[in-house]
Amino acid sequence: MAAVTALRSSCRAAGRLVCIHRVRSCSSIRFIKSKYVCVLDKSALKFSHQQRLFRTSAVSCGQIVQFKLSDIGEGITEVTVKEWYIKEGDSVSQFDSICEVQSDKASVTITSRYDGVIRKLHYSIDDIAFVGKPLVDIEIDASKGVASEEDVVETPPMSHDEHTHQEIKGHKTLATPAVRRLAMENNIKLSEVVGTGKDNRILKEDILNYLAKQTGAILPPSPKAEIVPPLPKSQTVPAAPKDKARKIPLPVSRPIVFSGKDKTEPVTEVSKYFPGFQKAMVKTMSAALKIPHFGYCDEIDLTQLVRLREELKPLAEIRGVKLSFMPFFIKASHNIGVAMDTGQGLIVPNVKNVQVCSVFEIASELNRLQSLGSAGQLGTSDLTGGTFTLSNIGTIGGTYAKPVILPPEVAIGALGKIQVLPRFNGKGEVFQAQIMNGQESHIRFLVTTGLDQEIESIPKLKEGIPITEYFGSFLLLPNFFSKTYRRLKELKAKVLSVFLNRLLLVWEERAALAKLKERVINEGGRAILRIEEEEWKLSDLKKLSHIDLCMNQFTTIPSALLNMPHLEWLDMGGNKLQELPDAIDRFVNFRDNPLELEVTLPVCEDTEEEEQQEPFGIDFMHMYIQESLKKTGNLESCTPGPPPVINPNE
Amino acid sequence: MVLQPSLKNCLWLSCVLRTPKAGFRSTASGALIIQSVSNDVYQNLAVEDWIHDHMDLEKQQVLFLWRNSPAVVIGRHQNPWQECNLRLLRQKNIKLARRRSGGGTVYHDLGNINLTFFTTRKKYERMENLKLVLKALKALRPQLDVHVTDRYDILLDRHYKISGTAAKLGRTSAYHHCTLLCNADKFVLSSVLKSPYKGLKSNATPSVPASVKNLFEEDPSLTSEMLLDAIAKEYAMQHHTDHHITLINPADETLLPGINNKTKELQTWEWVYGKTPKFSISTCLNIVYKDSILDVKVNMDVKHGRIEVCNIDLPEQWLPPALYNKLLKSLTGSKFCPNETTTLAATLLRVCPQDDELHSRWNLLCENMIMLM
Repeated sequence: MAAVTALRSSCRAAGRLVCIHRVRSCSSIRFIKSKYVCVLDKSALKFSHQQRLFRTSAVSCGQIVQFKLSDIGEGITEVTVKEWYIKEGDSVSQFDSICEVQSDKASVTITSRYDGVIRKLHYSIDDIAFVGKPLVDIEIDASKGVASEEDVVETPPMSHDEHTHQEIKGHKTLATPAVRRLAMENNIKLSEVVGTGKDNRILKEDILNYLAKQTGAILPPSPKAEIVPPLPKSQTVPAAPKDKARKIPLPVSRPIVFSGKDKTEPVTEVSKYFPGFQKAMVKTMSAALKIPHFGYCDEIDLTQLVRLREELKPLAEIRGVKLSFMPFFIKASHNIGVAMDTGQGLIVPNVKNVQVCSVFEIASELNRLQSLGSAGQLGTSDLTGGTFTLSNIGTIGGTYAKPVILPPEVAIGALGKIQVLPRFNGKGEVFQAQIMNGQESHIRFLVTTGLDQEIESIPKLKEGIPITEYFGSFLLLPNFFSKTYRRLKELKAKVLSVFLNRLLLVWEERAALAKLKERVINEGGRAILRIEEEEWKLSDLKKLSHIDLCMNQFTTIPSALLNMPHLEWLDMGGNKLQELPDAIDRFVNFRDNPLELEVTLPVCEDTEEEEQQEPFGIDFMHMYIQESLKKTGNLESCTPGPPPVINPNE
Repeated sequence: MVLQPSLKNCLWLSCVLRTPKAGFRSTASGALIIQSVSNDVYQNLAVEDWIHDHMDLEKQQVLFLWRNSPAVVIGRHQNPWQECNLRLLRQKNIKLARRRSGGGTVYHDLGNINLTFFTTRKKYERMENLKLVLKALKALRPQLDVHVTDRYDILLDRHYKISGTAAKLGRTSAYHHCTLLCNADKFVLSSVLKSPYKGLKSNATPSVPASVKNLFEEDPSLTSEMLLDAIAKEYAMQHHTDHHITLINPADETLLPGINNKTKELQTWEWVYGKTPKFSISTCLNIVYKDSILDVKVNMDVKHGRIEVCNIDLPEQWLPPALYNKLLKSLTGSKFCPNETTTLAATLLRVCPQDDELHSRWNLLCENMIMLM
């Protein structure tokens, strides 16, 4: 049934959209084209071959020239090949660097004398190459002088039998088939549209912008709509501290914006986001999120503390110590970790045994950790053994924060920005207070125990409130930690969906996610990831702990993707491929002959998160898509079923 | 005689430096002598790159004089782990740079002067340049016993190396640079250029160690400034140009457009460590644990500075297998770098049960692994 509808739509599409590329006429081109066609025309797909989009490179029957290693000078006859900048099958232009050779303390960059395609490398790395002997074989372009770029042609909407060509001379207009279809439907000439994607590629937005300019109409926003996560319910201070009911605050997060831009990203850059450290962080985070989080927020009047710090600052400077607010907050017990952002990501070194240190000592230890951290020289002892972590969001401007516990610690405090706000005092008068949002119980604790010794002179701060009055006092008493931890673990199953929200929040703060998010678009209720890459390297893909799928056009289908049973493969006509043609692997060297496929991820199934499964990769995307499709803000856990239809106006 | 650039000279120089292909036509002096005002090794190497890429050396050749604050500079195809003591470098805050020319590893500090001779590819002649240096030295102190070997080293008293050479050839231009030891810290030099890392196997260019001596030790009246001046004078004489050194600032983007990007690129991890040719480590960690010594064989393949293959031969059940496998999996693909491994180890530890013995074993293993980096 699906096949029939698919077929019908494809015929319609075929009638309207016929794009072929014209390259220098050479009989071999036709041969190659039809070869592709045979490979792809499975029983389910009955397209005419013009449907296919190819960008063929200059695979013309040119002559092969042996490029010899030229004279290095000083009578040198042999060199060692140290690095290749190109590989067989790459096209080179004149003066492009080919390789680096070394001879007797001289490093030489060998550049190409010809435009063409590399056909053979005569040496491997560390081989001795001889002056005057062939270094590489280059197949020279049959017609020199003409730019080696292809011409893109489009036929008018009507016929698909005649091949009337609309040449755009010497100009490569890149656009995906979906974009071309859109342009065709709106009778727009692609040459008139300014492309804003990579290589001046024309994107859907460009067509829409062009249309808007033409008609002056307000077009509906693209289906890649802004998807806003559940609105935070508890942005205000929660009820009186005596309230024993457990509240689960929702995350405060920014709306997720899909830019929808077509971007190609080299695979190596992507795998940089998930090297070993990040993989390890993933494990930490997934373990962290299994711990039910109870958050408690309050405002704290810090006017006195601010004054105190001002007084102590010069004293600290005399001792050569930079005094921030952190040392005051840290002065409670045990080994307090402080979250720091480094080039590697977030690390949390800790200040040991703060209960026996003075505020100045803590401040100087913080300075030391910060300088080591930025130099990348923190040792394992600095990074392990923390019992409680403080994260200072205030320094980067946030006022509220919902941090995630770093196991095996039991609690984490996040401190917000200190700002001056008007407040009512006990007598109902308005006064200016220095307010900071943070884990109140912790702060009060420090006030009652730690700071007393330091601030004899400020009697007001001594008026601490007894610990036991606080709900959440479990944060403070060490022996309470383990009991509470065990109890909270039992709640795990009931609050699964909260973890998903947390996951979203945590990863929203990671720049890497921004890249992933851009790839996901909602089209007609289906979450679609587009695959595109000019050049895949299988070896790089295998290293990825997840798959970053870019737009269209790749020459090999990575086996990593092939081995994913969840993936459905659709081609650009929206038809599901029953099986992938294994001949696609033969496209390895034809990097300019891409295949455009759309990939649809099926709906998330309500599976228990298992330790073995990486929460990234496809599973993560499932969860992510599921979450982003939920717009009502209720806390029901992930239910299976058809995804809700997304209103394109949102 | 070093002149501060007057306005006229500034304009003249910017004319020269900013019209790469046009060259310098009016009063073609045939040669230009410039000196860097910066002691940052990356900035100075970037200047070399810039001149190599952008200046037309057909009409005039260039002599570039520079000195660096303490740094170790390795050759293009060398392996820093094989060449120097990276731990010591980090401790002493000595920079590590990889230059684009070939050759071996050198230690730079302010007691060492660097000379770069820029010519066209055709006029590339290392022996001529070194003979020029010799002539300058002899003119300054005739009694100095210095000569050039066929390996392009300059030896003092037939025995001590005072200068090493390296070169880079591009399509149309080439440069030859060499060092000259005036008054460098020999103690630091010998300690940083000694690699403590065992079991490394690679095809990277090895350095040839040599005993060195400062010219200052031979004649305490010599200073770096005097030597720089003497060489500039000799160069000016040979190229029939005025003996006039122009100072340039390697951070000046208007004078040298694109220089800051070049500087940044030279500092990236991918260039300094990532360009190391593939190598393997096969060594044995001796872990002292509870009054016994564990021999742990470690085999690693490192490519582009990242661990490709990692095998650690631990006794069975010394670490829980799941954790051990996670460690190996995380290490594979990560940078061969102590900082990265430390953070990785600490992060993985968070998801382990709170077992003191496990933690101490883990930390012990990781610290030993980090010693290899």
